[in-house]
Amino acid sequence: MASPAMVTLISSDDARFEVTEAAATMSQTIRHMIEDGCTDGGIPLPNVPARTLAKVLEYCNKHAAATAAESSAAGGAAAGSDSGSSSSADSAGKDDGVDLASFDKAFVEVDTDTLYDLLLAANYLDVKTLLDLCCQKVADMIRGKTPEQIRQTFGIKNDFSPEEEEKIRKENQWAFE
Amino acid sequence: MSLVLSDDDLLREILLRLGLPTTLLRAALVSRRWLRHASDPAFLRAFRARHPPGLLGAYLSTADSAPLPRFLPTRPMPPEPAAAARRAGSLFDAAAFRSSSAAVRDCRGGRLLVAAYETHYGDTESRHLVCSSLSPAGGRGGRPGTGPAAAGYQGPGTASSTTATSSSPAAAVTAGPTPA
Repeated sequence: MASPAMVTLISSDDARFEVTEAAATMSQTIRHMIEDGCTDGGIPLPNVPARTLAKVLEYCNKHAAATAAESSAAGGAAAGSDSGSSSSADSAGKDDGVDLASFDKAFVEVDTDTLYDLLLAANYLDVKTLLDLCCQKVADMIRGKTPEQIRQTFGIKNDFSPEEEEKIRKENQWAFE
Repeated sequence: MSLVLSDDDLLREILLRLGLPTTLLRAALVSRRWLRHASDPAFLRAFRARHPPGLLGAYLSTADSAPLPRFLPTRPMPPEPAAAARRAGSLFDAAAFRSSSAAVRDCRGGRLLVAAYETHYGDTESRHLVCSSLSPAGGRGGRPGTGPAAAGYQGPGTASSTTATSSSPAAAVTAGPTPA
């Protein structure tokens, strides 16, 4: 098997990262750059610092490898004629799923600033599943909190007048009990 | 404030993932900007599509027991919508139903069409009310029916007795996001 195609990514602070094309193209932004042939001398990513890019690439490498393993397992199952091989491929796929889920969960167990950096990078690089993961994490941080606790957590100023706030609360009392 | 939450698109993506209408309502009360996003019709459509409203419970009319429907909450009830279920359950405790019997005729988008029957000197009078089972204390003056279509029909009734359906669910109530 030929060695996989590699691309070089350059962070905003000029660090160079060598990654497989499969991992890099999880980013739609990078995929388009590669398709447009803008890869000579590396792909500059002026919005992403090395610290964040390393984290994003850790995610992309993991997911690209899992996708590759899944498709080769599926290929093996299709090629296998007896039911035994296909059921073992099924269970391997399932293990990967559990593994990925726990990887994702641990991946976003980071401080808020790092989470914000990841979210902005995922948005800029257009890595859909990573953006989903980070947005869900922020949403989970909002869950179970009162409006005041949410403001404190995210440093947001309350710009409602006390009367307005009271009115909204009253109209939707069932949500605040 | 962080770049993330000041980006309208990202804020919406985050609000979209809050899951429960109660959580969305609390988030809507954070600031004017959050309220604006959380109450935008297009946003709410997307929110409902992503998190279909859950069943809170059902109103039951039984043949020979109480004249007012009983509310049976879904079990098990997660803690967040439990307050909404309590509210739905106390709908028929409102003053307007004190001297009447009632039946739930229909239910749509969290609103109920209720037929209320009152007997005065032998004549039974019926009223139809549109009630929002989650609105505060049934609305002004304890009168149920605060929706725009409230009190749609009122006239002399022909029903001679309370409705006596079997114990099949008369209507199901769901909690959907309706912030502000």
